[in-house]
Amino acid sequence: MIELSGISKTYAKSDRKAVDSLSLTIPDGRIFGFLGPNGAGKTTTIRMLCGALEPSGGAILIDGISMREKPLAAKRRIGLVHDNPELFNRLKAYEYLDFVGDVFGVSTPERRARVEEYAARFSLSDSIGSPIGSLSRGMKQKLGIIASLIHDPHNWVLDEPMVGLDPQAAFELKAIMRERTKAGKCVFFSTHVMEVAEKVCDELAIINKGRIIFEGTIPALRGRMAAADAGGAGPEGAARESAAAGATADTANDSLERLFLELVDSSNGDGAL
Amino acid sequence: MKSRFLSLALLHIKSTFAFSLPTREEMRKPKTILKTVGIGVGGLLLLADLGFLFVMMNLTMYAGLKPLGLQGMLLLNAATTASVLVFIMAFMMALSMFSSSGAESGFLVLPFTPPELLGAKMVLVYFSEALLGVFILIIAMAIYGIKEGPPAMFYLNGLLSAFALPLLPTALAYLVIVPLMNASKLFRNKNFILYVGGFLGMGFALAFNFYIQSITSKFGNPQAAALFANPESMMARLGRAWLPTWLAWKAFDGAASPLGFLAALGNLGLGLGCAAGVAALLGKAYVRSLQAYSETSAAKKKPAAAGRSVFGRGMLVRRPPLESLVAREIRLMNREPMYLLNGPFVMILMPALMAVIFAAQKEALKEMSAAIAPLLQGPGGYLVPAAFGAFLGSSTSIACTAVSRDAKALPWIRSLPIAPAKYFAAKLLHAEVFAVVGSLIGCGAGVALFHTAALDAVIALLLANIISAALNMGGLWLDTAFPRIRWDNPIAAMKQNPNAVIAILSTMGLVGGLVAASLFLKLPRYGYAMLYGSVFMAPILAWFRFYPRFAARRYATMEA
Repeated sequence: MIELSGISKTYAKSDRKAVDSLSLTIPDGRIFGFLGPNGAGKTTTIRMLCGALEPSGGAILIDGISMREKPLAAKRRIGLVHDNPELFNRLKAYEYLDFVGDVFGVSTPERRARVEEYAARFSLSDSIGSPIGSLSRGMKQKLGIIASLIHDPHNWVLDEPMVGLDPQAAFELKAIMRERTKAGKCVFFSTHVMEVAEKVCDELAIINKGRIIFEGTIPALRGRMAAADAGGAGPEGAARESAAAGATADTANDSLERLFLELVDSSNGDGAL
Repeated sequence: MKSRFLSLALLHIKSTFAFSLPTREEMRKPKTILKTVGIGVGGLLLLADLGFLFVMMNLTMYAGLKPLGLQGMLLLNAATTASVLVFIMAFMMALSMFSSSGAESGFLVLPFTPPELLGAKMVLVYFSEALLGVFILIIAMAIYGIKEGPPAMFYLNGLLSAFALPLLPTALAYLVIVPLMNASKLFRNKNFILYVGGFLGMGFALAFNFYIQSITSKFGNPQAAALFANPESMMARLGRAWLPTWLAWKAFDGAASPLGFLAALGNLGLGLGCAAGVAALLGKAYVRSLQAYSETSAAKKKPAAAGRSVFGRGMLVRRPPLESLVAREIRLMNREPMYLLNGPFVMILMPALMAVIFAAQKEALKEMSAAIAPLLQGPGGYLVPAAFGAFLGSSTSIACTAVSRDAKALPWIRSLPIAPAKYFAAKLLHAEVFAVVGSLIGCGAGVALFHTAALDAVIALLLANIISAALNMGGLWLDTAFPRIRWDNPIAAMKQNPNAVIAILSTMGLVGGLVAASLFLKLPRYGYAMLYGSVFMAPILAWFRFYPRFAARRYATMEA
């Protein structure tokens, strides 16, 4: 479980808060989506919760372990899929996996078994001996996903994991997310695609300008928008009407996107709903 | 509206030579002011240094040639020097800039004709060379002008010639390189190009150094310097054989008549015609080579037979985290040509450079060796090899760029359960592995050169390792305190990293200071070793005491 209590971040070269008093609880056994427009503070939040960035204030607990007080123990319980897979082009794929395995203290048989399993699922077995620089962006993303699972973390954190993945790999990724939550583990991932969130998440949080503007399930989001709109002709009204008329999936997705945009717009104007 | 060709050429020049001056707001910060002034002073010093060399060279030659009535040869020598330098530079730059940023593939989809694409790239290469050519010729023209008072056309002809000299070499460089790129897959490999460019650059640096050293060794002897430029010298023969140089000389020589101006115009026409011809002739081939340039050949392994592991020997095997961290440091540095050539390879380059200086300055060094012979009989026997070793052991720039090089990976690294102490220890260990090798090479060279006794050799090696360790620790501290975190090209983290410049200058200053102190102090034979060993052990101990805490704090707060 990941608990964020009032975390904030102001970068040294900025006077604006990138993340402002953000509180979230990401429970075990749930796939938790983290949505927001570009520059909303998703990556900053993820970097803070993984210990890559020091918050200006607030507390982070990973399975009850404080990231500030026991960073190494807290980090051992996280597997992170970074947003930039273009990091170590000069290393070979297995050298990168070995490095991560060594840092997490994964035994040889365990790491071999896990790499073998996930490399097969992501069709990457033939490229394990290749330099990372020779892999496509999608293959690098798959490699990052495998590396993040090499120590079988209790909390799996993914920053925009679908970017660059082919449909088969995206399907596998979603399947792995579900397998992990079934096993009682925590999955937290960021995206800016509402459709992905709708199909994958048990719960979601929407962030804009560093603040959480919604937290709950998709039905709850619809309900909240409906309450705010009070049966008017807003996006929620459109969504309801579409559903009632048995609209196509495309129309439903479209209305969901508009719902997201409406929410972000309203938070830009007069604060969270 | 500018033509497409001109727009592209200007874009190439701007993106390659983009010096972004700080804004007014940034200039209010003392750090920015200090940095800007430092860079400005550094640039001026470099220009002044090069300018001084060429001014002295021309003055000495003039003094030697004037009594023979051959002072005009000074201009032929300058034109030949400029031609040789721009010729080598043209090949190096055309090769290294062939597809330097990958942006070229983006230009392929824009409505440029192939000759426009190639021509614009040639303008970029030409621009860099023209700066060098003008710099060399202007100095010679100024000295000749002051001493001889030639007509005004002399200067116009000279400037036109300076701009004409790099044209033909640029055209020739592409005439050779474009077919090479098309013919060989090897030449389209970016790493290969980086290595070839790097080695060519080093070879060029060594040759240029030899040339400069040979000339500076004759500063006090105008007659010897004049031999460099007399009508039968190699430079003069080269100058007469290479048409652009010969035309440049004729432009100077005939400045009093229209013939000189015609020669300068002819030179420009010849260069422009050849460059335009190459752009038109090879434009399509250039585009084909660009299209093929980014081809990668991923080494795919055969799928494993059923029931067999897909992993080879040594793959996916557990190792201690520190070993893994050090291996990562070494791999990431040594597999990046930009890092390798400007880092660990210095251990090879510096001795080669010294060998060139020894070869060029033989006479002066013989005298110097005789002068320091008594010192070498005493403590100098181990102190000089120790100085060589200390310098080489700390000149790889590994430690002083360690954090900057890792800047892009910092957020990811910090998300892993790596103790800051281990992370920085790996960086120091990496530097120290090469420091030991560098010390061995440096001390070994000194010991061989001065026939140092075995005990003195051991002491020299120990001393070199202590000094280089202290300097590397200082370099790592510097880069931890002020890392260059935001960069797009590895060159910014290494070669253009101010920490690397500060570290190398500090090393030179400290080693020079030790030499001076050794001449000044009067101590027993091994007293120097005791003193310097203790002096440099103090910062090492202080580093162990204070650095880990400082580094851990910085590690947590660095914002990549």
